[in-house]
Amino acid sequence: MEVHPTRLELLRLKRRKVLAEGIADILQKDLETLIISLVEFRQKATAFRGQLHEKMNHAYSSYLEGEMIAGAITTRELSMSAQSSDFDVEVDTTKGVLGLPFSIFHLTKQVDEGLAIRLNILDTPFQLEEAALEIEEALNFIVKLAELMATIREILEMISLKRRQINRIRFKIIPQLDATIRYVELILEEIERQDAIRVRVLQRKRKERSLKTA
Amino acid sequence: MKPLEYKEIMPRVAIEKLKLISTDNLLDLVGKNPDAIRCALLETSYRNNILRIPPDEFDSISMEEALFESYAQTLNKIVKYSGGDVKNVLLAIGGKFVISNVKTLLRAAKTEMDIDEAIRHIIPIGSLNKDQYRNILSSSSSVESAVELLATSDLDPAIREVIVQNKVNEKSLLLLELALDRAAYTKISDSIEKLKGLDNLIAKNVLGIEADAINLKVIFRYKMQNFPKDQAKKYFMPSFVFNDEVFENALELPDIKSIAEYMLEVSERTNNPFYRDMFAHISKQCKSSLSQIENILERTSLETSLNIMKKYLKYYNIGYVLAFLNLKWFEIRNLRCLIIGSERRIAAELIQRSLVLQHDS
Repeated sequence: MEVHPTRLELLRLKRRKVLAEGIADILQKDLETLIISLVEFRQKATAFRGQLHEKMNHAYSSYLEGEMIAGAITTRELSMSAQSSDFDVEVDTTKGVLGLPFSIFHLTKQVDEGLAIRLNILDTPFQLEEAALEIEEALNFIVKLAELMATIREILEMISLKRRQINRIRFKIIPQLDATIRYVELILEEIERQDAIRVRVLQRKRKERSLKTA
Repeated sequence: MKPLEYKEIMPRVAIEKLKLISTDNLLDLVGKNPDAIRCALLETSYRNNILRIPPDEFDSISMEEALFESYAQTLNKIVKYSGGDVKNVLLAIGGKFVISNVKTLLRAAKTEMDIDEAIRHIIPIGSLNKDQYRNILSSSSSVESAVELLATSDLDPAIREVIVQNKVNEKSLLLLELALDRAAYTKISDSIEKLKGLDNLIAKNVLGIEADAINLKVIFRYKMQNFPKDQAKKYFMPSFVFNDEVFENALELPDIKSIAEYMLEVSERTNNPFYRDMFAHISKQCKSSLSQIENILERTSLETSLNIMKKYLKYYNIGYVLAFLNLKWFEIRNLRCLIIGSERRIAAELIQRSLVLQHDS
């Protein structure tokens, strides 16, 4: 760092160091907040994953029960010939922790008003309908889980960025400032010492001159 | 039909009834592995059908096919030895399976399912055999062409008319399927109306409870899934006991309990013990899941058949024949449950819960 070894510069450097330490503290607090919210989102994701697993298990068990009642071939026929449901995921953004933009996913189902019933009631045991409904609910969990994962990834990226910024301040900028301050102080001390010697020499010379004239 | 005309058919039905698997034997098969079930079935009337399955192709689908074939053989045999109006009723019952075959064919055409796989679900009942269905399916490239081929086939003219009159929706076959189902039950209803005296009463009970079980299933599903009311009405099959107004009123009621109570009240007016018992049972179990209530509806049909057999012990009525066919169908349904459950390694309790057995079993 190229600096003029002056007292003004030293003061400026010290102010910059205090500012850098302040920024590092703020970043550290942000980092802690991010870590806390990461833990919270992770817990939420674990809970969602558990619910999703439970829903899928229940749907699978209903499906098997339905298959037992309707028969394997009928179930296959029904599943292949039923009108497929069209799903879409709408993405929205909201401000989350520390004003970070978090994605919000909404699962939307395109409903055909003309055909609200997809499976022939006569051939379909309720268990198969139940399995289809539970799979739809599971899809909601999957979308919510994806949303949480996107949020977690966003937070992780931000944590890594904040950590890099803190490290840069703590291990690069502050040590550089310290070194520069030490350098400026040394130069100033040196100048002070030279000045002191120069004063003493001048004083001595003035004394000698006064003795000669006396 | 005159009592003398029953002489030919009744001993055959009695012999077939003796071949039915007892509830205890059926329950013994719960939780057994597929091979054990196959071995047990080799000791029953299904032996010849099961022996036709090559050992390396043995699975739940081939077993299901063998069971359907056995049912078709039994029904065809009974139809062969019956006569007059009873034959018409039996042919109308066979019509349900023909409709099932037509639905299979249309679904296979829509989804471009493998022809061999689709043909395995064809129940060889009615004027068309498996080869004819195969020819239609292999010659049709779309649902429209399948419909055209079916319309010019040897199918029952009433079914052909329904196929021609109902346009196929590209997205869904539901409307055509509904029209076909309704045509099958209308034909049954018409054939029953031609029966006289006790035969008419018995047939209305055995087959009527089956049609009304479908109507109730539609009402309960409507309550649970909240689909449009006009769509629910399209699903109603012709009832032999209630008029359309009763079901439409039931659709307006808020929950299963109030529907069951209303239907109980209506059935008390008609003084029908089978319906009364069914609705009394449903109103007691109204807090159960819909799948359990649907099981009650199916069980009522089974119990009605058993009660008809006990109540009308004399040979000379249609009750014994219809009740036997119903029992045979439930036996096949239960065996299918056991085989699929065993193949999928489902817990024994769950398999047993899915069986349709008598109330005290």
